[in-house]
Amino acid sequence: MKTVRVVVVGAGVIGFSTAVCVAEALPFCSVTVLAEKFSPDTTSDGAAGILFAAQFPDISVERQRRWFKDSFDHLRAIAQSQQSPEAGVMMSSGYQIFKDVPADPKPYWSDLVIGFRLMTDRELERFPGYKFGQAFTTVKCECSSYLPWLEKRFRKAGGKVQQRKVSSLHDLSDSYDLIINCSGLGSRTLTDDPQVYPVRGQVLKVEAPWLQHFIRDGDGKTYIYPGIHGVTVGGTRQEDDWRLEVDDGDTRSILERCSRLEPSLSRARVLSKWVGLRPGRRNPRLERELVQPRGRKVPVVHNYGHGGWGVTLAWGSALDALGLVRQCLHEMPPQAKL
Amino acid sequence: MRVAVIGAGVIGLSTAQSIYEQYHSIVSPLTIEVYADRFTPLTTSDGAAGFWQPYLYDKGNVQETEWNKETFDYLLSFLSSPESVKMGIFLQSGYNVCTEPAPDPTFKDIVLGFRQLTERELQLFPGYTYGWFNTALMVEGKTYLPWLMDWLQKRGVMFYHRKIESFKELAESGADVIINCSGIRSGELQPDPELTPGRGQIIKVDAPWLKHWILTHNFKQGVYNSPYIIPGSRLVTVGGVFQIGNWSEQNNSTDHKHIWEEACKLEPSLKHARIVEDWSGLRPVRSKVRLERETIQCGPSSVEVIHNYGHGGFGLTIHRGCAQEAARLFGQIVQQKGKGPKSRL
Repeated sequence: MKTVRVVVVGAGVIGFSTAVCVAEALPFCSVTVLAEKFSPDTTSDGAAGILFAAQFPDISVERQRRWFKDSFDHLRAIAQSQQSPEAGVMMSSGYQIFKDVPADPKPYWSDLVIGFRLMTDRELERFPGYKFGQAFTTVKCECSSYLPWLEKRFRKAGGKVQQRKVSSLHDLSDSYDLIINCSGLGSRTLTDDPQVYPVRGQVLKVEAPWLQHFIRDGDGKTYIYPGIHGVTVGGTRQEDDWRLEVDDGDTRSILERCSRLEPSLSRARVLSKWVGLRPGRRNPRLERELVQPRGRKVPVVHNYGHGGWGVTLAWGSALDALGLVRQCLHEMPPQAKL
Repeated sequence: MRVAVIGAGVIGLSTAQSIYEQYHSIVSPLTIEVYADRFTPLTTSDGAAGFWQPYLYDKGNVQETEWNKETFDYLLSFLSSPESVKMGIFLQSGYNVCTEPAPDPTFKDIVLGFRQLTERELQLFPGYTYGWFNTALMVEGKTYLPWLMDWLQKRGVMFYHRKIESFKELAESGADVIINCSGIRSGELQPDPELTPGRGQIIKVDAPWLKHWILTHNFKQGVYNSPYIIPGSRLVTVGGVFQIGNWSEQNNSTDHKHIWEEACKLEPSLKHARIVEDWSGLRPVRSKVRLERETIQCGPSSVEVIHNYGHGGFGLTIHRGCAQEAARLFGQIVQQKGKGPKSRL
């Protein structure tokens, strides 16, 4: 059978996860990752990478559970193996705290993480003003290590990598038989999707090696995530804000809010500051379509718009995308493979 | 009154602190002196991982359980202040795993968030079929001891780098009360057949991706004789052995090999950890902590001694409770000597 030429647009966690899944599962495909930015310059690189999810309104809970579970189990196996330090994947325990009791005290992923339980009164005493909390153990996946690790795995499976800015998917239809679009926020122009918009997030990395637990305010705006080489503290959720520059007001606000949750942070040295634009969307777009740029029909599998949950859902969405790729290949007329 | 403390490990320093806290405004003048031949970072307390956890079961010794609880609550109270960093105190969660089902440990209500391990969690620990998860405290000796010394020095406590050969020596130089916190070497001051070394050896490694402590329990082998991995603020402590009667403070390569192999089986990612150093220490093991008064005759006069030693592998865990109790005993002496506040009619 002739090799099917597959291109993955985007080299963030969604792009590389999908590329690895396809390259490893479908050896008769030649897979190329094309992107303008690679680690450490992708949106994924600055993310703390704690596995944790919000619920999307229009996707079935079963499908979201499957994404979460597949991702969690995949990363957990790495965290508990010898690969853990090289891949930048580790186990992390901690707390999500709420000022008011949430409508849904047990989210859909509560049985998919480890040891999920409600916090005791004694544990809540540490957080004056917070009435409710959840304690659990989850995975942390640091993309500045994980993306190079995935790339290594991708190349081992025969994958190729090319640095290039893609201005239009149509440009790719001559060189490739199947396009997988993992361009995140870039899809706004690449596929003319106005539904994807930036949600600006600023974080700081501080030196506080005595911190072992993550702490997250249920409102999603204030969080402390101890990692391998520093503690990520944040954050902001500024919709439709395209600024990539660090905002000093945000820096002060982050340090002040986080120090209130964890007083010892006021003694922590700030190592770096970073801004990323989450590819916000009401729901992630994980579906296929056929484009017909120049007479020839080319299948496209879209896998973008994961907002702040990219790392959390990457592997599960990649497997889902692989399923869509298989469907596309199955339906491909024979002459397209020449 | 002149108080002479022998020993500058966590027991000696914290006892000096408790006595100062409770009596410096009651007894005037109150001179406190600490004598030791080893100071931080060379004490037994410095080498320990700094993990708060008593042995699984107190075997009816409820007094020790109370002192452990007092210590935990005391240390916990500092977490709401940034001072906790300078004291070396922070929270850490982890796993106690056993080779067979076992009753809940005596400390289950002292720690935070205590619960049984789920089936999924136990899959992480092949060979172990039962266990618990909880959040406990770390109190790192290498940070806590300097903090204590600084605290004491600011309040006029004097330190003397000198090995004390006898209680008599201090009595003759004018000490009114001697606090004996000489740990494993108390036998040199006064023979104690119940005191024996429980030698431990540990390996310190750089593995910053580890954020949970893991203690394994093999009831046939005994406490701390089976692997444990305890991440600290900078390095991870890997152990362990518990060799009763072994006085050697030298690192042993056979022990190192054994500890390392067992730990790597427990945590495969350790294979990529950089080994920084080995350390050996002698836990001052005793059937129970010796915390009591004794009047020692020195020729024509006598000197009051408060013994506070024999804390085995749980010195950091129990230190505050014992220090407060020792201060209480000191209070009795103060009353008896008529040095307390004058009673009012």
